[in-house]
Amino acid sequence: MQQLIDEDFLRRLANLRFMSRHRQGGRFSGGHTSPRAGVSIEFADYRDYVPGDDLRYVDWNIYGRLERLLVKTFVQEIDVPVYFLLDTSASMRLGRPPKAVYASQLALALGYLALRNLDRVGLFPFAERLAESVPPRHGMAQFSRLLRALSGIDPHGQTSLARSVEDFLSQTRETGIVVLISDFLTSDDLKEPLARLSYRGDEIVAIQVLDREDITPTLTGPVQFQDVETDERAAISVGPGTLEAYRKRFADFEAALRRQLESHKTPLFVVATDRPLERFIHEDLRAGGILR
Amino acid sequence: MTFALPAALSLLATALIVILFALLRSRQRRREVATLFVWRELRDSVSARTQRLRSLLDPLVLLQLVTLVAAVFAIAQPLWTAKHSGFASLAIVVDASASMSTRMDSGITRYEAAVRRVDEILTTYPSTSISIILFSKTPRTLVAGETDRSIASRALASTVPGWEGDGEPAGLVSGLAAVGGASAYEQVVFLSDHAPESAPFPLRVETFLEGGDIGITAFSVRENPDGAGVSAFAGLKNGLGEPQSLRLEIADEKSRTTIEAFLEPGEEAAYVVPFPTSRGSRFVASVNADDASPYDNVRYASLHRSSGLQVRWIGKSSRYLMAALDAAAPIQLVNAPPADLTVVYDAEIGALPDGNVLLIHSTVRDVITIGDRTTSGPVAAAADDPLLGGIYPSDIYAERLPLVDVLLPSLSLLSVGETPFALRILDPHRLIVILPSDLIATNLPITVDFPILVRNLVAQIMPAQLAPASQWSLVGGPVALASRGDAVEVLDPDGRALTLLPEQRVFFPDRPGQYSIQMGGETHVLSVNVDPGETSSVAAAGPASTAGGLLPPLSAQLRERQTRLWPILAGAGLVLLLAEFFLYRRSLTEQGRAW
Repeated sequence: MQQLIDEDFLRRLANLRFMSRHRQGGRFSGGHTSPRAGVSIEFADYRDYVPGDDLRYVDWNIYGRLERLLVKTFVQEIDVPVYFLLDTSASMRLGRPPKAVYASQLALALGYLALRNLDRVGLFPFAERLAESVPPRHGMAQFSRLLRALSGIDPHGQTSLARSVEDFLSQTRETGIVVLISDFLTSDDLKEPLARLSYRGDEIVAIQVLDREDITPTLTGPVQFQDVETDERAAISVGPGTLEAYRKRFADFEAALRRQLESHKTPLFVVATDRPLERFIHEDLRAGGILR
Repeated sequence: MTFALPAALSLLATALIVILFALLRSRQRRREVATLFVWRELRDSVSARTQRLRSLLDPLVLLQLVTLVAAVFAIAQPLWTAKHSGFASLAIVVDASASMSTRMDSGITRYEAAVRRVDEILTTYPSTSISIILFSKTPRTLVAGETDRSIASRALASTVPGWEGDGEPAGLVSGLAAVGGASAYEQVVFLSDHAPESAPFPLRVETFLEGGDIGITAFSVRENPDGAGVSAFAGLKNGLGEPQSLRLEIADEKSRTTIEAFLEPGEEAAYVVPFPTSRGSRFVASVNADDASPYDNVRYASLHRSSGLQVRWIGKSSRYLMAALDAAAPIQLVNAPPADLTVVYDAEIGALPDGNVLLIHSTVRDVITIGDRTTSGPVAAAADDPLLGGIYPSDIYAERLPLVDVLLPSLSLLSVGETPFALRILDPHRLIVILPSDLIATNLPITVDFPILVRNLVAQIMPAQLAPASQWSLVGGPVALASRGDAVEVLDPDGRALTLLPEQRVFFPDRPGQYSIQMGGETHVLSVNVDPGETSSVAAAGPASTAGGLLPPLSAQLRERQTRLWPILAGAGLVLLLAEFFLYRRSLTEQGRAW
């Protein structure tokens, strides 16, 4: 745990809570309110008694005064499964620190918050396909499982979000919050996997983890670029003009990605690995309404 | 083009190192990226192609190679040989000494002929860088490195030769040093009326010899030891080709004396000219020469004389004695000691006065007594003494000569029989002369011997003062004022005061004549003359062998000239290196801005 994340850091996150627009909820009580009336300590309303209602919820004081049987209803607090879809393709091993490490720390931190919020948290690493996952569960024991799983991640392979989402949907039946952490540096079309997740009713949060060199490369001169996922190579003599052109095209790519995600009401958070994780969580994610 | 060090060209092989480094630097580096699709789009863009081209022809590498080539060629010292009819640079030294004022047969002076020759040179070599130095005892830079011949010509046309004498070889070196030194010039041309006796570097000498000269080559004045006026010493030279009958005139402030002289062609003679009536201090010697160089026809000399004789008179006056004293020296009567001479005439005093004393028919209590008994008769010399110089004792007659008792050691100079007519007290420190008889009791007032006797006496008291050597100076030479005390004012020959700084202790007279130096209540006369060597140089005119070597006159001819190219190449290499440095810095800045 000390290698991936430290306890002090988690302690500083303890006052944060996951915010969810997800109203369907899970099978278990949790920290999220549900539109359905349920059993909790939070009063919601009165309704007329119908046979079969639990007599424990009849308000006898009102009956004494009004001779009318009314049953108290309470806000049902439900749990929301939080699925971390974590990109573990080869491109995630690049960066300082490596994007995979940063993404793992982020998933662990957010998972910790979700577990504290009595939510179930599951981890679904993926590259070309979904890898061995950690099914969603309650409790801090799950945190240890997440930690173990994240510590053993070895980024490799190509990214195929479409196949991975397909696998993910087949493995999970319950809708929830899907935190998709990836560098999204792929020429694959994201429309289909995002649509499938949206159609199921999942609330998607996309977090793009990038290396600073992905955003503003600095290497100049004759360079042979090698795609770490495909081993494809391209020799380019890089000068100031080329760097400027790269920045422009990368900005276009980012804008297109953001448009694609927004069409599925999916917020995109972009973070470079040289940005302190705590600041990203406290500033960006809180400002984005993911945490409060 | 040739190379002084052709072996150095082998250093060009070091270019391979530069190329090797460039190749190593330009080899492709590998970079792993998350995805290639963005880069792939850029690969075929125009910008990338330009970059690829630039990597093949890196301007920095090209600059480095050119710099290296320039440096290697500079080390090899290339020499560019070219034939041309001019000179890159000429230094022209024009003799501006007094002798250059000599008018030549053509009617122009030697200096004007030299100026015309400079104009010829300027016309012949119009693109040559010219420096002109006016050379005399004080060299003067007229033009330094001028390529516009009109400027040089105008500057020279406005000059005239001065009164100074010839410059020294050391002056030639310092004069050229002021314009970069002789080595900075391809040729040094010397235009003069004589070749220098020695030259520290090769000179092309052109001389202008026409015109003869009669001149006073020496002049000095000395006061006669017997006090009878002065004697003038003068040297005369006939530099003309014909015998000359000349009249030499010596004048002081009041009077003048002349002698006639006859000189053969080239003859030089010295004369001692008696000037017995002179009592002046400013002397001018002039010769009635009708020659082409008037600067040496007049010479100046000065004699320092005392301001006068201070006389204290006790007793009865005597116009005979006063006239004799006045004839011997300017007299200034004083009422109280000290005085140069105390005259006691027909009086009785208690004690001998201090200093020099002339006692005539007077007594000094307990020391000198005159008796009542007298004698008469012709006077005879009793001793050989300078006081009796020029006196014929037999011409003197005493009518009433009293006996005198002197209680001091004394010497009888003249006597009538055994009776002293004139005595001298034997005191080594002062002069005491006694004439026991009243003057009117002798025939002294009507003899010529009396003023002679008084003049001898005054001459003993005021020996003639030798003129200080510094009272003869040359134009342009330094005149020290420190040894003359606190000089307060120097007047030039026209009586105009020269401007002197408070601490100035030397000045340089710029023209001949008599300068007055007023200090401490006295006026010293300084005679300034043109260097007599300017006259004598006429006879010595003509080429002489010099240490530096005399070259034939300058002439337009095709010459081979080798130009050293290494400074140009070294400078170009430095500029290229700086350009490479700034280009490199700029590329770094651009990259930094891009990041």
